[in-house]
This record gives sequence, C-alpha cells and structure tokens, in this order.
Amino acid sequence: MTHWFHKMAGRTRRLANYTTGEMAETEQGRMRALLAACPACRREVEAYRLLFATLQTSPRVTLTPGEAAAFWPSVEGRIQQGATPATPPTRPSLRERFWDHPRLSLVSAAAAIVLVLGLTLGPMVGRGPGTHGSDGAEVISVEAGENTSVMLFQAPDSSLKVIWVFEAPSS
Amino acid sequence: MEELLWRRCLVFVCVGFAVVRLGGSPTEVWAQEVVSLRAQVIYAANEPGGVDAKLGNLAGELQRTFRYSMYQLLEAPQGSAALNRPWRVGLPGDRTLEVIPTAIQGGQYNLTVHVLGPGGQALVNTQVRLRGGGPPVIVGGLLHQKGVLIIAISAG
Repeated sequence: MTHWFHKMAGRTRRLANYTTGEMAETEQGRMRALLAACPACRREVEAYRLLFATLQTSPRVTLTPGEAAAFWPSVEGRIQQGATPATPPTRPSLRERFWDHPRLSLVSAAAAIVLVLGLTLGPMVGRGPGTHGSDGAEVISVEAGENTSVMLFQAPDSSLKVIWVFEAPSS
Repeated sequence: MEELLWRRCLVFVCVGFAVVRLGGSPTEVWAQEVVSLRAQVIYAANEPGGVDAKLGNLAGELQRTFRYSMYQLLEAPQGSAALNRPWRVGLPGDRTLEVIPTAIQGGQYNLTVHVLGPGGQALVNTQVRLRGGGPPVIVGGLLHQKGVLIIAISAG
C-alpha cells in the first residue's frame, strides 16, 4: 500500500535516479529511509539495478566490413519492396468492401438465384385462390341454368365427382 | 479475378431475369401457362351395346357410379388453353362445352366449365379443381337420343 502511494507521488522516477546515483547526497539519505520502510520500493530498486547492470554489460554490436557494406543496400531494398503509393491510405469504399469481396459476391449470386427460383417456382406452388390439396376432382361451385337443375353426387365406391344436369325435355 | 467477373455476370443475369419476371403483371405471367384439356363425350343408355372398350379405366368408374347398360364413347376431343382463355367443344344436340382454366396450383388446375344449350343459354356453370392426370369431373344428364350424355373432363 505504501509502495502504491509512493508510485502515485512520483517517487518511481526518484527510485530510478537513486539506483543510478543521479541524486544529491541529502536526497539519497531520504531515499534510504524510505526504502527501509517500503519493501516493494526495495524490490523495485533491485529490479532497476538488475536492468542497468544488464544494459551496461551487453556487448556492443559490431559489423564486419562486408556486413556494413551490405547493410544499407539491404535496408533500401526492403524499403522498395514495401513501398506504397504516395497517396495517403484511404478507407475502402463500399463497393470494394462488399461488391469486390469474393465471399460476399458469391453470397449475392446465391441470393439472386434464390430470388429467381422463388419467383419462378413460387407461382407454380402457390398460384390462384385457395391452397386446398386433393387427390381427386373437387367441385368448388355449381350453378344451374335458367331451365335446368343440377345435383352433385359421388358414388360410395367411385372416385368420380358427378354434376348431374336435369334438363327440361323441351330445351 | 476471373471467377469474380463470372460471379458478377451471374448476379447481373439473375437480377435482370428477376426484374423481367417482376415487371410483368401476374396475369401476364399466368397467361403464358397453357393447360392441356380433354373431354370424353359418352352416350349412356339402357339399351344393348355394352361398354365401349375405348373408355379404358373410366368404364369401371362409370359402371360403379351409374346403372346404365350401355356406355359408348362418342368423341374424345383434346386441346389446350391458356389461363383465362376458353376451350370450346361442340356437343351433340348443338350444345357447347366451354372450359376456361383459371389457375394452376401445385399440379392442380382450376377450371370454369360451362355447358351451353343450342341457343347459347347456360345449362350449367361450375368451377372445379382437377389434379393433373387425376380422375375427371363428370358433367352428365344431358338428354341425348334414348339416354344421356356423360362428359368426363380432365386436365393436365
């Protein structure tokens, strides 16, 4: 808890300075008193010391004359490979994002096929009034003429629907 | 990239076809449908003659339905009609059979059937729904000679 209070108070930077010795003697005395009361601060100081020691002991990177001669041409070659047009990058347009997208283009083609099939086959399966299905003939309505009468019947063991017209003998 | 072009072409063709299909009114689209129609005109009477072999399977159905001793197939005109267009057949006794397909629905055909007398007066008006290749609807009872006419109307 004390450590987080120290961090919030900006003492992290002073801990780093203390580790590297970039601090006045009086200030160093106060830091030592602080470290005595703050274990987390001591661990942080140890971490800084380890880091600085590592940095100071890292070997210098050196190049052989051949590597040095090939270094810049290699960098320039990579720059050329990754060269982009001078125009600033722009957001892809809707056309590029949707119309040119192969997967979406395929989806739109499939949707169009479904639309056409629906329009073509839809009327064949749902055309006209009513949708009642029947295996045989179905008489929807019967109307007799002026001088006739009609009877609708079906024999028990027959599939025939019969509209029987009673015609006046004189007609 | 070439595949993408093909897909675009497919989209254009399909959408164009859909627009053409949508552009016409339903009546125009239906009017292009043609329905095959058939009428078997049978003379039935209680007189010698038996059952006409040309009636085929219909003979048995007629014998189960009626009690005539003789069934003779007089004619069996066939034709076709577009939706909402009449198909007319002359019947014995200067009568006329008029069949008008009004709708096609899942392999079934809605028909308006008129039987007209010699003067053009309606003897019977009916609306029926027939399954393509299914049993016919029978309009009978029209007096003819010593018996009656039985008309079997089928579609599809």
